Amino acid sequence: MSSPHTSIANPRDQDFETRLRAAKDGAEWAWAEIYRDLAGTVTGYLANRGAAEPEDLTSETFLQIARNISTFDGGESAFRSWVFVIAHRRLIDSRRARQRRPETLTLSDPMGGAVGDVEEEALNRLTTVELQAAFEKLSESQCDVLALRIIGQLTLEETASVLGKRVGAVKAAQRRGLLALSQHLDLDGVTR
Amino acid sequence: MRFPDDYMGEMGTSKTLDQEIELLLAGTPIEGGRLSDLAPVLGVIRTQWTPAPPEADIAHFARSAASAVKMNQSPATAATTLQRRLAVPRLGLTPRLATVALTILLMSGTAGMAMAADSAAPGDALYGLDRAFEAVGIGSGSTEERLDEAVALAAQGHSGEALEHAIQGLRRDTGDSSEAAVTALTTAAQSLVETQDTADAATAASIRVTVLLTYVAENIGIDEGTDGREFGQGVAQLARDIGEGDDPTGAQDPVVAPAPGSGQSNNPGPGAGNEADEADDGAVPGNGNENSQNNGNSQNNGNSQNDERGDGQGSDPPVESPSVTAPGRVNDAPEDSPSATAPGKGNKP
Repeated sequence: MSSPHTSIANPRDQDFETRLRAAKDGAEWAWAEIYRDLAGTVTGYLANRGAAEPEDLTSETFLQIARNISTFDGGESAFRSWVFVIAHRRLIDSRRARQRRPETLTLSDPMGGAVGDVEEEALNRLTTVELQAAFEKLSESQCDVLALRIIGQLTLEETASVLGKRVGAVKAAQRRGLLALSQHLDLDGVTR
Repeated sequence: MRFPDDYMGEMGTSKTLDQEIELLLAGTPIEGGRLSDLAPVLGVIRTQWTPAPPEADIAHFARSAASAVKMNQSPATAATTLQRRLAVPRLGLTPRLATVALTILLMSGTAGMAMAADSAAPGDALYGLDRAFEAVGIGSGSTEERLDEAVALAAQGHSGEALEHAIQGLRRDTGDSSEAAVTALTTAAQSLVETQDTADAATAASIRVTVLLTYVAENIGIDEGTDGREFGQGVAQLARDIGEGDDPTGAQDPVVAPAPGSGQSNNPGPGAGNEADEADDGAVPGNGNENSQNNGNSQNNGNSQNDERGDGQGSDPPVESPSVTAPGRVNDAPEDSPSATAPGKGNKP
């Protein structure tokens, strides 16, 4: 069964190839597109997984990508995986540097939440607090998987690739994680 | 009211749920599914946690990245080729040539980054790096000060930047010890790129880099005679250790490398002391070692960049296989035997 949003059409592949070649040649427009496409999800992923300074880590991640771009060869999906592999590694490095286990979520300021009206924002805040509590009950690997799938917007295969797990393990983790999330969240009280 | 975790024991049920999850994550949840009330929550998560980056940031990053790529371009190609050759036991090129090319690569990268990062402000794409450089006051001071700064950088976990910073400082000096150190640090930088695939390997490598830089900082300037040779061998050994990826606590003890002047020179190569020979000192015992950087670290610790490109799909990517990394081998790492590293671990082609 194929889902409409996860398959990548051929034209996009060609676009990516063009962009990648331009990026390797040092074309600014290509790097702008890469950053515009991925920086938000990378920052979100890092913040969700407890990075103390997600923006800094995002910068480091993309600089490393720029530095190593000549070693990359592959399609868009592989590229996304690669980017998140680097981000994930940076995250682990920074955790080690801090020498303590991070909180699962540091929701002190999730990205400023630049969404619409006050009411909606209140809804978002409430959900965020609840989400924090719910996420904290998940295992590390469930959090990793869900953050990559929901925030990083990676496919099953890409997520498996980034985490070095088999697809079956990713499926199992997301099943358990999402069921647990839905169990822990009092959704009736939060979302109409 | 919901289902316990082990509810999903049955294959058929998991499969249905998996399909529902894929639709949910694709933004097209099925009506009345078991998880359909999560749909608005996922929407909130995505909205809140994936802000579009500001246009100014995008432009700033694009400029920095483009110039970084251009500065890296030609040497990068050369270095990639050289790295491939170095991975083969029989060196196709002299170590010295490889060193020169790699050093150019590292230098151009650092200079470009430092310049670009210099003007970065908080929130800018380069701010993190900017602060890393600022923290050590880049761009001033003697070689000794540079090395101390590099040690500090390494201790903070910025291993790559630390090595680059040290190499940059050492390149201004002409003594044999500086040249030997540059050779070794370049080897170290190369290994570092290849060993950071797991958190444990990264931590081990980070500690080893700190040890190596401390050793260099304490002993730099010994250019002559037996002591000079010992320095060259010690620094080369410590650099090779970075590719080994096992017990960092063994390497933490500086006596792993013979302290110059301790009189335990056991390998006085003829004519040692000039650059080419120091480079050879680094390479000859490393015939196995150069190779082991690629395949010595059990699993897939070697060479992640290469592993990832091309496939990236479900094959053996690197991150997080805690059970196969360093801790298991802690005990069989011979702490005090600098020459005993390669044979035991580097033999898994």
